[in-house]
Amino acid sequence: MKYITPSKKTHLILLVFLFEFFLIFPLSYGSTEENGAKKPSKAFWSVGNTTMFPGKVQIDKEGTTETFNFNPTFSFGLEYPFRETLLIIPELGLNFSGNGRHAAVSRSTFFISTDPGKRFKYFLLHTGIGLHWTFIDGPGGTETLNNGNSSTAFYLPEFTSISSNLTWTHGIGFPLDFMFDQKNAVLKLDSALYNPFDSLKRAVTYRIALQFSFSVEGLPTFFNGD
Amino acid sequence: MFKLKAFSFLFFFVFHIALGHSFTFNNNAAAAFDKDEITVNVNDTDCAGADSGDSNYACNSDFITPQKLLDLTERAINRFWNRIPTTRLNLVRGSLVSKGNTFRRGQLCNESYASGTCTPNTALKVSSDILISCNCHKNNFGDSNVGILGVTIPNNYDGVAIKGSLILINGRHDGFHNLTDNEKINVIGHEIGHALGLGHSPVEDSLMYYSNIGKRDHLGWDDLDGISYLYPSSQPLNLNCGTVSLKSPNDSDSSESNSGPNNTSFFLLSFFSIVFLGFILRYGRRRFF
Ligand SMILES: [Zn+2]
Repeated sequence: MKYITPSKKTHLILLVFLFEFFLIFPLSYGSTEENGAKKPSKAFWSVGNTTMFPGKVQIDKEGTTETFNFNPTFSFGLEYPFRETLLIIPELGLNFSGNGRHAAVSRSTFFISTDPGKRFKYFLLHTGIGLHWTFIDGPGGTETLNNGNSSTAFYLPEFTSISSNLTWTHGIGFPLDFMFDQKNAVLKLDSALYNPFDSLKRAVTYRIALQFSFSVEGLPTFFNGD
Repeated sequence: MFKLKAFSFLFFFVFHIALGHSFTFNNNAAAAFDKDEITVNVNDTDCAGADSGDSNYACNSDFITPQKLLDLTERAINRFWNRIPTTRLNLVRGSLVSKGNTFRRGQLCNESYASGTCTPNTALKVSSDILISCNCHKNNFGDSNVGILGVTIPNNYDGVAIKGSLILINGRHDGFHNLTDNEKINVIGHEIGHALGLGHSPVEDSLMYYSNIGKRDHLGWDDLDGISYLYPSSQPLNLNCGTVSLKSPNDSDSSESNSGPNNTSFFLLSFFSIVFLGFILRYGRRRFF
């Protein structure tokens, strides 16, 4: 097996490029004075479930890996239009992995993203860069467990550890005009790709969520250009 | 079934009992290596049939070669510990290193395996990173076979930072040698978990469970959480730039690359994104350029 190890500099350059592209590029739109979109900005909240790292983790003695796991996810975000059908969608959210297998350890993930998106007739697509923070903490103390032929007290985690990961986010949203009284319910399917450049650490999460949008009076409309 | 065994670094500490179901550590300070890239070396001493006349450290007539041990070690780190998305940790295949017979004959701890405590034997202190050696001392694995396949301790500390860890694989009895390659990889993987600072897990599907289970191809959640806790990733400041696999079609190790999103889905996602960005560029070019 052969490996190459790209330099950190390469990644930093790529990172700066991507941030410029995803963030600065749409912002620079708003600074021009030509005709902008007239659609109002919106806020939204969503509730759903995120499946963490399907295919990556063994969950029983037979070697089964998961395709779905239960992590309730809530998010809040904004939709800024900057052209007729183009949007920038900052979003922040939290998913709770709860207990289950980890009775003593709690695990949750906080995430932010600012994806550019495009509205089509029946759906909305977006992609961009996100940041995911994974919080893991435990109760401290010790736990006595088997150790060879005897048992030993092992130490439990005591503090909170935070992993931060850059992610490549993708998503599609289907407006559910027909289901709800209002036109602002959306079925969201999102995924976040961890470590896209590392073939071993690469992993995905996917989220299925219902999103409810509402107009916000006086929300700054950076991209309307007037 | 044989049980895995690792001594934990327990002396000096007073315990109190608490219940929980989670990953644990083998030390009370959540000690971990203080660097992101850790090399796993293998002692080049050959155990098969060595010192057969000595009652203290006679080796079994069968044991895999150091080269084979190194190859299995690489498969263990790439099957397990290098696959965790939320860690900065990156384990690297090292090389065969000449440590002489000391590590083949020596005791891991000054006490016998049965004593339940461990004062590390300073003669086997590992100066840096992780060293794996086959070993045949009766005080590490029992005079007759009691089913211990490997023993591990971080035996070089600087405060709460682990500087070096030692893994000894049982060459005294034929238990390890008789395992399949897959099972050997799992045992080595488990011991590397201890070398990194993890204790045992009460959860059966974790690699750090104290006993070998039926089928093991991936880590369990507890293993992921334990390593993420000790070695959290800190992107974008510290990107996981570790291993980008360049596999040739006839790579004999291709069975190792089947977990997580595969390359096809990765490239589909990339393609989707590029097409989508094309849209944005196309719609936006009059204003942007
Ligand atoms: Zn163990």
